[in-house]
Amino acid sequence: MNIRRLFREKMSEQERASLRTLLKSYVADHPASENIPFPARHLFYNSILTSRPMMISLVLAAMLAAGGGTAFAAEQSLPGDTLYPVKIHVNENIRSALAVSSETQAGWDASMVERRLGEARELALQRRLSATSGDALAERFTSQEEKVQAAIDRLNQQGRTEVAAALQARLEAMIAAHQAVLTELSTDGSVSEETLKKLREAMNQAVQDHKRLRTAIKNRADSQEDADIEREGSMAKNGVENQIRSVEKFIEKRGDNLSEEAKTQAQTELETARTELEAGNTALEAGDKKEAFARYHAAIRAAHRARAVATLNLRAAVQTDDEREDEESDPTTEPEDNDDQDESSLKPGRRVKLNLSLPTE
Amino acid sequence: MEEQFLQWHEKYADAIFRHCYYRVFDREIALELTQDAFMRLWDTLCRGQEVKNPRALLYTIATNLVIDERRHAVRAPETSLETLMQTGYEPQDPDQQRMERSAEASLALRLLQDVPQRDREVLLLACVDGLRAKEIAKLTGDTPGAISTRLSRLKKSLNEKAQQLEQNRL
Repeated sequence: MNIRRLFREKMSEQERASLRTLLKSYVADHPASENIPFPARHLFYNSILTSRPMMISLVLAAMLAAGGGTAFAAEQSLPGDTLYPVKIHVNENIRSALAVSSETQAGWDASMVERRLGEARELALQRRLSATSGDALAERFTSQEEKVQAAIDRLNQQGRTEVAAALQARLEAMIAAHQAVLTELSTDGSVSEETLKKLREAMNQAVQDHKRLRTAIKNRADSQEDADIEREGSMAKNGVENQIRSVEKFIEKRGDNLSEEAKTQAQTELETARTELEAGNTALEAGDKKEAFARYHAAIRAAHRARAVATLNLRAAVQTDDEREDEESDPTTEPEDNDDQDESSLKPGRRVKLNLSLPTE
Repeated sequence: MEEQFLQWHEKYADAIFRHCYYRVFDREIALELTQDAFMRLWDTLCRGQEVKNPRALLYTIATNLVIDERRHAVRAPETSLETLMQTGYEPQDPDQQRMERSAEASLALRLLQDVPQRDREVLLLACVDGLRAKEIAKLTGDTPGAISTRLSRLKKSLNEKAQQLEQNRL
């Protein structure tokens, strides 16, 4: 018997085709100029190939990716818009169906949490956030946030502390940034505290939960064996370096659309990230892997805070291009500083001075 | 770059899949690891790193992923090779036309059961990854002669065991 012949297992044509499709999608999502390696496992279910509902989802996903009609338009919708149900019940389910591993699913769940927060912010900026839409968003936010927290817990217990920490840092920074935004919008009268009540409660609860998660991740990291810490530390280091580079590029590209204040704040957080990264490298060289791991996590938290500041300030600034044109045509107009403005002069999407004082460690 | 990357996928996907499959003995996990290996290769390309030998890099990445997977299997023993052997492994294969290869996979697993870990790796490097004795020697630190001798002994032993299993079946 030729023993070699026993070891000739290979992928089926369907499996090869599916892998090709998934890799193409990965390449499209991670173009060479903005790559952030995410050490993710992607479970490759056979059921995707044999289940009809899943195949239909894949076809719809391809249509979405191609920018087809309703699905594409729905992506921009907000609660209360006609296409919003398409966004949350069709588009998001399709994206969720494609996320076939635990890490990818957790990453997508985190994106959905961000989408809910972003929708609350957009509605508030447009002065369309009501108690009803606010409460509905709070409920969806809580549900999706709980799902991600459970996923982070699971990843942490499986020893995938780097992945868990990166997700946790991303969400914590985004929640804190949105809390600051909503406070600002409440202060300037765009939205009442009563309207924000449920959202605030949900976000405050999430903040507490994230403190617990951070502790759990740290404890898990401290209890890991040396070889595991070394591997996770190496992944964390790469993750931090890539995240810092990514945020630097983002600020460089969009600098004109950011206020000086936002730029400064983002740069300060980036500097913190770089300092922590250096401290992590020093600890690693000294052989203190646990300390290195802790520092890398602090670095990635700071990098995520920098991204949150830059991203939120960018969107607020972009919304007010019309307003900027008005100001430039009449240099005496400074709507945001004019205390005598009445309601009728406040258009949706006006400039909001965002003073994002994000909580640090 | 994308085109080159996809060509590498066409060329090496099966080999990487085989490399993973015969070490984790779980089709879904092997497919997953294969996918991960290519994604990490793409990440490497995007970092601007020159990849002179994509095949070697893919094997390195895949090997590391397998090692990680084994570590997790120690913590979650239900998918470890040893547990699969104890509980009886039946390769899940819905495609009727691949029954023959499924039977081969079962036989391969049973034959590997009694092979010590160190020898198992040498065998897989030769029979699955297609490496020559000289190449395996570089990886293991043995001499090419020692590897050749070991492989010869292993193949003879496996042949005998396969014949025995065949006779028992009959």
